[in-house]
Amino acid sequence: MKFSIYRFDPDKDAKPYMQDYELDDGLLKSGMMLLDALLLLKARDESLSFRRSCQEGVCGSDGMNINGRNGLACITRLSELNQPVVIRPLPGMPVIRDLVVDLEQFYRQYRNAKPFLINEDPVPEVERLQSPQQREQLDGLYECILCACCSTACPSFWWNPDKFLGPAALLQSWRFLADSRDQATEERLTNLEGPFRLFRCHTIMNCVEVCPKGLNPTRAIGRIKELMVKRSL
Amino acid sequence: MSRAAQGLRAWLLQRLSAVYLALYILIMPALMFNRDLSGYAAWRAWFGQPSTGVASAIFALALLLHAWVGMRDVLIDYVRIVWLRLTLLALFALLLLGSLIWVLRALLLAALPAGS
Repeated sequence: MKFSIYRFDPDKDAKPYMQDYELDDGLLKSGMMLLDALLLLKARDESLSFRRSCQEGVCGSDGMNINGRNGLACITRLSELNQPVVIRPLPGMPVIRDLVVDLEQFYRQYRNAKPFLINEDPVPEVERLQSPQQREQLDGLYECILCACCSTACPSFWWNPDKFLGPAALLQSWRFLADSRDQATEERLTNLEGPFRLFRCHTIMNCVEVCPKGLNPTRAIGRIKELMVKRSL
Repeated sequence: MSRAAQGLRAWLLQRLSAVYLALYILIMPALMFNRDLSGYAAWRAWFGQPSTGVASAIFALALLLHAWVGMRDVLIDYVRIVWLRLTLLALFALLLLGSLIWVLRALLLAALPAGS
């Protein structure tokens, strides 16, 4: 199986280049994921760098651009990929080395969304309870693993990563706006005002297309806009 | 302009103007379909009617507002140099304003008695 992988070591290379690799078909087993192939390649060329951890689509470390589409290497089946498999780092982020990118910008926007419950009531003896219906509102929101596949597939985030929150952070914004226990609706909506933070989203929906967990940030963004309209009336 | 106006209001304006544009584009041809509108005089009489004149004036306004929000979005996305972005926005605003005055003038002239 043939691979073409983006390589860049800022200490040695003047500019990035694509390196070809080939794996013997004998080494490949059915049901193997791309990450397994990358680990085999790394065993052969240990200078090849990429992030990975849980290897089962839970930690979100191994987001990368696979044949032009962002995804997690650990849950991408080798059998479904056209050859040569072209692997690049997540688009639009500064490259630290090979497939490892600097996600500081992404995390900064995540922090900007205040991804925690804000509730000024005294802490109760037991949990802050929700009805099953209230809890249901968080389905499709809390599952985000922050792999950054969506935000780095978003053209609006490419153009304004410092000002536009991006789909991942906006999904989290809605996750806490939709939470019956959160009391900071007003503050959260005010924080999203202006032409950049929320309204750079032009419903391109690349985020929905690539999300490895099947989440829908575009819908979450739509719900935030709805809430803003309701508030302004 | 407040931050709210730059975000939510611009977005709402774009959506609402789109609804009006869609309605006008569907209804206007339907209304014109069964009429004999051949020739300048017939066109002028048609657009000179208060109802069509006002509907068309609102159409022009909605179209230009819609274009303004869209163009502003494109320039905010792609033009990173602030002075260049502001210059382009100002030029586009002038162009749209000029177009609006031109359309309103044409509609007003059509509404006046022929020959005046």
